[in-house]
Amino acid sequence: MNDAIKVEDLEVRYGNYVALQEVSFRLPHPSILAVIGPNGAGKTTLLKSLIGLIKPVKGKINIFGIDAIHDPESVRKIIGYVPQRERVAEHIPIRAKDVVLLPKLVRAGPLTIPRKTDILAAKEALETVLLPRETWDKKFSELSGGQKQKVLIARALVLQPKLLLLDEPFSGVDAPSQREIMELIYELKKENISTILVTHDINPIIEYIDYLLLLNKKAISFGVPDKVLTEENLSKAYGIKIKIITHRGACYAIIGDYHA
Amino acid sequence: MLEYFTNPFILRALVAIIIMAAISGVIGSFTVFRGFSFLIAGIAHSAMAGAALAIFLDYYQIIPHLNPLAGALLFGFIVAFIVGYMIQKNGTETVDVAVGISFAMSMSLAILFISMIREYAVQAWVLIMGDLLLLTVFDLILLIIITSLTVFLTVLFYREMLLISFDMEYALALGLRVSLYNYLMLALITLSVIVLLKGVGAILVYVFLVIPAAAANNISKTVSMVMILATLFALISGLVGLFIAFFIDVAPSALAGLIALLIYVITLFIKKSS
Repeated sequence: MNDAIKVEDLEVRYGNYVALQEVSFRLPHPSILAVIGPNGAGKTTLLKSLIGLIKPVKGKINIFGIDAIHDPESVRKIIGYVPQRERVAEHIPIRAKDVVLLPKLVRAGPLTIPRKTDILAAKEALETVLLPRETWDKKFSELSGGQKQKVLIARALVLQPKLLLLDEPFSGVDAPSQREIMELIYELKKENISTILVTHDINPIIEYIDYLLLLNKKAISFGVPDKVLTEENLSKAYGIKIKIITHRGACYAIIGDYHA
Repeated sequence: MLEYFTNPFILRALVAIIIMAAISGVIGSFTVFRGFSFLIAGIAHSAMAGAALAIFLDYYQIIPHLNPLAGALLFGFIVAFIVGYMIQKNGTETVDVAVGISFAMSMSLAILFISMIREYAVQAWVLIMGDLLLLTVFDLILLIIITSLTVFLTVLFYREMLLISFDMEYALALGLRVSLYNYLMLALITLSVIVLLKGVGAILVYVFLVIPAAAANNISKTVSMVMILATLFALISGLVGLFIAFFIDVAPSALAGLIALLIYVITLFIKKSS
């Protein structure tokens, strides 16, 4: 099995501030990795480093055999990135079809007229994320939280990536839509697309993921969820006592007050 | 009445309104999309300071015959460059702070220079108040050149600028040269503001560039509809302002500003009722 990603001894700094340190992991392809950790743990920084938006001060990042630090251009061609939805300018009356088509047209160069194949690819991407046909002409701002997230995933899929990076995809998304998105990611894995997603809440997605990276500036633990989700690891990452319960073979982390 | 519309001053004002409406539709829309509305006011006022400096340098024969427009362009571009740098370093959230500081500095400098060139201060005040009826053929030619350039570049890089406006982080991840397009957008906004200064003035350029696009954005279903409606709203505001000025002896640009505001309020009601 090939590796989708191989990260070795990664260190990222913002000036004197250490955002990430001693982060190493290998992700086989295709698989689903969830990155969890407290606020400021460096989760988004890790994603941005993988796609070349931040240059690490130390370490190696290899994505499908490409040196991501020295050749970010090549890496960007095989990665589909879905940033946090809060950063999208929803006041612009852009339609779902424009959101999905734009990356293809921008890559094609100025004044390119959309070809039939481009439109077909965009429509297929919206179908893949299970959005109804009428979404095509709808204003992005008029869609529900879950639908917006799916449109942004469709935008990433339209360029046929081998790896998806999703930053907080469940923020402002209701529970049924979270499940739909996870099932979609699971289906994409069958089509040979690996996914790394950053999340705050591991419980709704735990049954779908293959690997878990627990981060708090350093990689506290990496591996299959059962091995990573221990009270010791979580307490180390979050700095508070966290209880783990198991149900039907799956581990669930209980954060907050609890009594025996 | 026919005499009024065959008057060369009025004809020039009419042509200027049509051209300015196109700038308002194209550049105004991207200004609203990017949330750069305050930047318009910042550039306009810094251009004022630049114009006042040019008049000062000419007055004291330090640089004789220096055109106030050159000073306006220089100061306008300095503010735009500072803002572009701030976006690159700290993100779009810091734009208002950068503009606010430039605004305060520019107005202080403008008043300082104007107070030192009392006899010629009227040249600087023309840029504050603006007057559609005082536009020269040279002003019109400049307006046409800048508008053509601005519209051409915006059409050419429309998709890039739209993607950056909608989702800058994604545009970066796609490998787009975001800072280059940011500077291009800021340069086009600066040129548009400065070319509109003499016609509508530093105070009303904000109303003319931002309000029609903001009104259009309230009720539009698509991006192209924003641009078309913004152009139309700016055109209506300018033409009706000029027409009313025929009956009442007031500045047509001020009337145009009030009409643009009225249109904005109407679109707010339409938005709420839909």
